[in-house]
Amino acid sequence: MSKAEADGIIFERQNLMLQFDKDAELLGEIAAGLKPKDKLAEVTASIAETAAASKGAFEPRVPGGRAKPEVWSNWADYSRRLDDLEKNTKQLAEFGAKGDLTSVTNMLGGALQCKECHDVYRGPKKPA
Amino acid sequence: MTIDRLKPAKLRALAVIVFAGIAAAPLLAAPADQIRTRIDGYRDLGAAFKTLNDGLRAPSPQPAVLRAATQRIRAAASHQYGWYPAGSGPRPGVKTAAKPEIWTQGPRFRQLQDGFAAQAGALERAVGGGNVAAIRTAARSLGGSCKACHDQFRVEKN
Ligand code: HEC
Ligand code: HEC
Repeated sequence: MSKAEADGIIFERQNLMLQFDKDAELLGEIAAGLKPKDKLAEVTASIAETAAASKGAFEPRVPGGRAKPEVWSNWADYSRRLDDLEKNTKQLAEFGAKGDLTSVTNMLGGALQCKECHDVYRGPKKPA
Repeated sequence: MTIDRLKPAKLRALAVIVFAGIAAAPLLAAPADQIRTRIDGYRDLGAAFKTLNDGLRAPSPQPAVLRAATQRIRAAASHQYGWYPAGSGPRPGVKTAAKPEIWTQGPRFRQLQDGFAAQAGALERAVGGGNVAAIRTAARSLGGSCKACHDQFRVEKN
């Protein structure tokens, strides 16, 4: 695999994470009543799509970025987390499609597990 | 103070100042516009690249979707050369993630711009060829060219 291709794999998973970040922020604002809920279906669908793409993006064993080597040495645990994320966000998107903000909000605490995973598998930000 | 009570020399001086003020206003506004153009350009490039990757994840990728995204990427690859006029770098009160080294390490930066343009061309050829596996590889390599530049010349966020 060329260096550009390996870098591209890291870039892809980082872009998926940045998409999570953007969508999770908007969803948080909708849940908090700061933004109207007309984007609820769209944003929950986007989160589900990103989650569905995540496992494939981490599958190639390409250390780098802020991913710790444990992502691959503990792949059974790591991939289970991504499977859970996919399953939970699929449910989230189903509630979102129905405009069911209450159920979406109730799920938010447990469905995403962003910090829980980062605490174990994401290294510190590189010094500028 | 009314103008008719000013001596001609003072009047001329005043005219120069007023004129300079008018001329200077757009000059001061220009960097903000240039940065806006750059960020909007990259935002569209990011969106096109996402469309391409989303398209490639579909069970049977739609050639029209891939072609349209590739055209936007190719357009950005040629426009990027105009996105860094002198004076459009970071300064107090201006929001940009472009590092000042872009303007001091011109040749290195240019090399990374050319690398991106070359990968965009390779992507276009792969899309033209229609082999999905080859398009995926080209898309990844293209992503590598984005990352190579961001790692060096863009301020990391989060
Ligand atoms: C199963 C583990 C896991 C889950 C769940 C997860 N992340 Fe991440 N995240 C990572 C890893 C690993 C990285 C480092 C990737 C790299 O740099 O290669 C990362 C990186 C990031 C980054 C930094 C991206 C960058 O390059 O600047 C952000 C932002 C982020 N995640 C947001 C989120 C959000 C928001 C969620 C929840 C919706 C989430 N993540 C869920 C593992 C996870
Ligand atoms: C030669 C350098 C270079 C290359 C190549 C490059 N970028 Fe960037 N990119 C930058 C810089 C510098 C910025 C910050 C611009 C600013 O904030 O003024 C940036 C910003 C961005 C942004 C953020 C825009 C915003 O909303 O603030 C995105 C998205 C982006 N680039 C995507 C890409 C993608 C996708 C590619 C490859 C297909 C790519 N870039 C290739 C240098 C580059």
